[in-house]
Amino acid sequence: MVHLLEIAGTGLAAVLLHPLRSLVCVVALAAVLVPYLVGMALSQGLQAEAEASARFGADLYVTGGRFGRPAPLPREAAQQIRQMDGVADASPRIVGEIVLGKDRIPAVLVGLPEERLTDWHEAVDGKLPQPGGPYELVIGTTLADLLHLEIGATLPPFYRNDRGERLARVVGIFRRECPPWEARLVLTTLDSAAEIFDQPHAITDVLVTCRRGYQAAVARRLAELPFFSHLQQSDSVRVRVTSREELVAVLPSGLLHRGGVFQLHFVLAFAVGILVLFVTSGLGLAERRREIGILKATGWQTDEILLRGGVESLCLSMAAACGALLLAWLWLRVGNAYGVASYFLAGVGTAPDFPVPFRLAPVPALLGFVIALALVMTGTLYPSYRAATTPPREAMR
Amino acid sequence: MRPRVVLVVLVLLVSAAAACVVDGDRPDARRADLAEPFHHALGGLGFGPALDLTEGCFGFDPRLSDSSLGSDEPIPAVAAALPGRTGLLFSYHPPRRGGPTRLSEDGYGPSP
Repeated sequence: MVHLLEIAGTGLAAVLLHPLRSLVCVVALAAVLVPYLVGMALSQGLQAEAEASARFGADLYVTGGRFGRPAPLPREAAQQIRQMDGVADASPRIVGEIVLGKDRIPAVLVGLPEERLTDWHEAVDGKLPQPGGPYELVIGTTLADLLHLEIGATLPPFYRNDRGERLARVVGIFRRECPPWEARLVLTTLDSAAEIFDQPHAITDVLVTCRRGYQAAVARRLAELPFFSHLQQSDSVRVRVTSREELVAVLPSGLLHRGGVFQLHFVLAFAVGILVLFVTSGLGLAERRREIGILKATGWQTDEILLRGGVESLCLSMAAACGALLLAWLWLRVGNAYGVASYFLAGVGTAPDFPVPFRLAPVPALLGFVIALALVMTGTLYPSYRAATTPPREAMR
Repeated sequence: MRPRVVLVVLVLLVSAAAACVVDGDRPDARRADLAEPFHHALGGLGFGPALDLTEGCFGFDPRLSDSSLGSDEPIPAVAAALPGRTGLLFSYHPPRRGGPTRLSEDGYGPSP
């Protein structure tokens, strides 16, 4: 046992015996591992945010569709749904796209009834929008930064309405710690949103909250509601109902699919890395062959040389995996995913204006270490074995 | 002397990496506190990798539209450089509504 530990000790010393080789090995591995860890962390952070969105949202979402695309519903749809047995609440909502400023920055305008705009002051700096007077808006942090808007700022009319346009005033800004979808959000009252889009009688969806145990029954009966049957006949609008469970169910399959493709790309990158390591570690390094030849000539056995190489590989891969983890953490926590967030979140600039969500989970970190170990082992053990099985006189030449 | 130096450096690196994972895997308490009132009031808005509707509703929130046209780019991250395509690692398929469809004997199923 002591003998094995002594050999392992020479493996540790071998890391410093060829400092350039060790450095190239660690840097090359870290260069491949850091983007992988950052990508997986951003993806898992966003998944956690999406799960919260589904969990804290409504039980059912009723939308309209025509030709496979979203179509508005009449405003009275919410009233009709509210009267159904088992429905606790049904709120109309308007969600649409607007553009703001001379640079035509895209934003998502959301209109909600006034009664929903209470009791969530903690998510907003300033106050929540109220009806009457100029349109009152709560805007997202990215919009506030891009348009240089502060609380109390007035926006000239940014829309077209035949009945005339009104000024809008910023009364609040979402806090940066809110979910990332606040970045380009503009929140206002339902009536204000209807006037901005010039759609006084239409909404985009109805948020349905059901009484306990009624959700499935309400979802089934919604599509059969005479109001919606009439709507389909008169306006060809088909009603679509999405439940919270259906939404949550789409997450794992999508992530597995896209995560699998992502990991496949990194497996290819590692495959290329093996060739790089072959060149840098063993095949082209005559000095290493000579060293193994000397060890053999002084009485070392092949398995002892392989153990020495294995310990050296373990140290290098551990250093690379830990270094990559440190760099990934710094990039995400300190650098706020600078430069990389836009590859994983559409609509984010190079420097995100809000804390980018991420989860640096142990499983990808462990996987990174295992892949790094396999790579370095491949680059070290095979050349070492070849050199160790060659007659020492030839190896030393 | 040399093996000890390497060993000490490795132990420090592993400790620092473990601390990073512990910190990175912990949910942000402030963010978690704000998520509930935010989504509760908005009725749950935002689900996907897009922060606006320029590429359609699906990438922003599939509850608004389950039309995933143009948002199922199979090459992650790389496709983000292409204009008009979401092409992101985090993605999903349209939700399946109403469970499995049962066909009648004449081959017709119920209306979705």
